[in-house]
Amino acid sequence: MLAEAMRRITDNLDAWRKGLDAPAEAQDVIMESLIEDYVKTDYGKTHLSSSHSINDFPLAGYADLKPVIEKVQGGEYQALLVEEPITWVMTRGTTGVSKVIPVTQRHMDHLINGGSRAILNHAMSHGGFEMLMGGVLNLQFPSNMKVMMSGGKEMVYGFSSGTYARLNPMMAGLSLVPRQEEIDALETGLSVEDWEKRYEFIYQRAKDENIVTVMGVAPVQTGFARYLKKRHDVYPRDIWKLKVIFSTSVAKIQTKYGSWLKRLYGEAPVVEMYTATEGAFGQQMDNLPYWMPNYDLYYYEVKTGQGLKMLHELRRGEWGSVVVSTPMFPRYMIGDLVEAMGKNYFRVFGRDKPLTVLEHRVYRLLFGWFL
Amino acid sequence: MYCPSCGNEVSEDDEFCSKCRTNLKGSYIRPVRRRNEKDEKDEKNEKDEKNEKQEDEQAGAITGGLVVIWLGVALWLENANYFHGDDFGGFFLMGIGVILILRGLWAYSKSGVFDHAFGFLIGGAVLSVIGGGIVFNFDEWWPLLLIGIGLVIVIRAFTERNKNPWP
Repeated sequence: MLAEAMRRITDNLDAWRKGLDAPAEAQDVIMESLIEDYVKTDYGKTHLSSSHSINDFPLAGYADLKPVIEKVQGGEYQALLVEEPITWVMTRGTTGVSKVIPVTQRHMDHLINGGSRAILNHAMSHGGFEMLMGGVLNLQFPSNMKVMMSGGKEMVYGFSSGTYARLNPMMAGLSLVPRQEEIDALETGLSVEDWEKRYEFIYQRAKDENIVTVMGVAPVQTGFARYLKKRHDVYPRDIWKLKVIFSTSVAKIQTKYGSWLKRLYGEAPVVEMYTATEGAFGQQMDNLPYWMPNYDLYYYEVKTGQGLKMLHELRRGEWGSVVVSTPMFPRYMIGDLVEAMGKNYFRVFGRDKPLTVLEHRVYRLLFGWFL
Repeated sequence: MYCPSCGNEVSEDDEFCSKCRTNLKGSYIRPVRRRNEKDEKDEKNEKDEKNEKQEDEQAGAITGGLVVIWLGVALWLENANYFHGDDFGGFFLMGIGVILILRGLWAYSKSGVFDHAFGFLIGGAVLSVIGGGIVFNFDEWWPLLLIGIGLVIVIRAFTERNKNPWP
C-alpha cells in the first residue's frame, strides 16, 4: 500500500519534470487531450473548425464566458463542459470581478495533481514526509457560503480555497487544523467580525498543536499573523516552529510577501504555488524564487506585445498576459501578468491592468539591463 | 491511505472509514453543511481578504488629508509673512516630501520590509531636495538630484539582481 502511494507520488512528480524537460511535446499532448473534450461541447462545436485547432477558439475572460456558464447552471452542462459539474465555487473578487464557476471531476483531478506537487516535491527533497508529520494550519475560506440551483438540484457552494481543501483527499491526510468542516460550521462570512471570529477559532484550535506548515493565500497568512499580534500579542513564530510556508493566489509572493512571512512565521522556506480558482498552474521547484508550469496538465499561451506566444517559448525578460486552456475553459484569459525568468522559471508580477503594465515598463526601463 | 473525510488511516480495501463511516468507494465529493442562517447573507462591513489593502486605502486617505492640511498651513504661514511668497512652492514641496517619508516609515513599521517603504522614501527625498533647493536658493540642486537618483538606481539594480537570480 505504501509502495503504491509512493509510486503515485513519483509518477506525479515525474510527469511534471518530464513536461519541463520537453515542454513543446507535453503541450501538444495536453492540447490534443483537451480538444478531444472541447469538441463535444456546444462551445467547442461553435468555434472549432474542421482542423480542430486550439487557435479556433477566441481568447475569453470570465465576463465573455458568463452567459455560457449561466447555461451550465441552468442544466445545460454540454454548453461548455463534457461532464456535469460536481460542485460550484465562488471567488472573492479581490483580483478582479467576483466569479462563480462550476467544478468538474476532471478539473478537480488536475487541481489535485497540480496542487499537490509543491508539497510532494518539497517533502521529497527535504527528507521525506516525516517533515510534514504534524498539523497544517488551515486559513481557508468557508466552503458553504450560499445555495444555488444547478441543473435543477440545490447545491451548497462556497469559496474555492475552502472547497478545494475539503475535496482534496491529500489535505485530509495532512491533518488540517482546524478541519475545513469546522471552518464551515462557524458559518462566518466576510464582515470584520466574521474574520476575527474565524481567526480566533483557528488560533484556539491550533495553539496547542504541533503545527509544521501553513498553507493559504499570502495576504490571509499575513492578516492572521497580525491578528494574533493585535489580540494575543504573539506572532505565529512565537507559538509554532514551522518547517515550510506554502503561499498562493497573489502576485509577487517571493518579492513582496516572502521576507514578510518569514518575519511573522519564522525562518522557514516560503514555497510559492501559482494556483487560482481555475486551476493549479505551477509551483516552485527549488530555491529559486519562481514557479514552474504544469505543462502536462494545462495548455499555456501568453499575450505579449509581439502577439501570442507559447509560455515555454518566452525568453528571460519577456512578459505578457497568461492565457490558459483547462479541462473546463479553452483559451481562458486568467488576467495575470507573467514574466519569464529563463529555463521555464516564471513569476507573476500583477494583474493585467494599465497601471501594472506601466509600472512594469518603468521597472524594465530602469533596471532591465541589470537583470 | 487516509479517509478523505476525517483523515483516519484506512486500507485501500476498506469500503467505509472505521472512524466516521464515510463511503470510501464513492466519489470524493463529500456532503457540505448547509448554513442555518439566511443563505444570501448581506455582507455589510466587508473586510477585504487582503486587509493590508484596506490599510493602504486608509493610509492613502490620511496622506491626502495631510497634504491638504499642509497646503492650508503653508498658505496661512505665507499670509502671516513667515516666509516670502516666492518660496511658497519650495516650502510646499518640502512638506509633501516629509509627508511621503512619514508614509514610507509607516509602511516599514507595519511590515518590517524595507521594500514596502522604498518608493515613498525616494519620492519624499526627491521632493524635499527640490523644495529645499528653491527655499534656500541653492540653484545647483538639480544636478545633485540627478546624481542621487542615478546612485539609487544603480544600488537598487544590484539588490534587484539578487532578487531575480538567473536559473
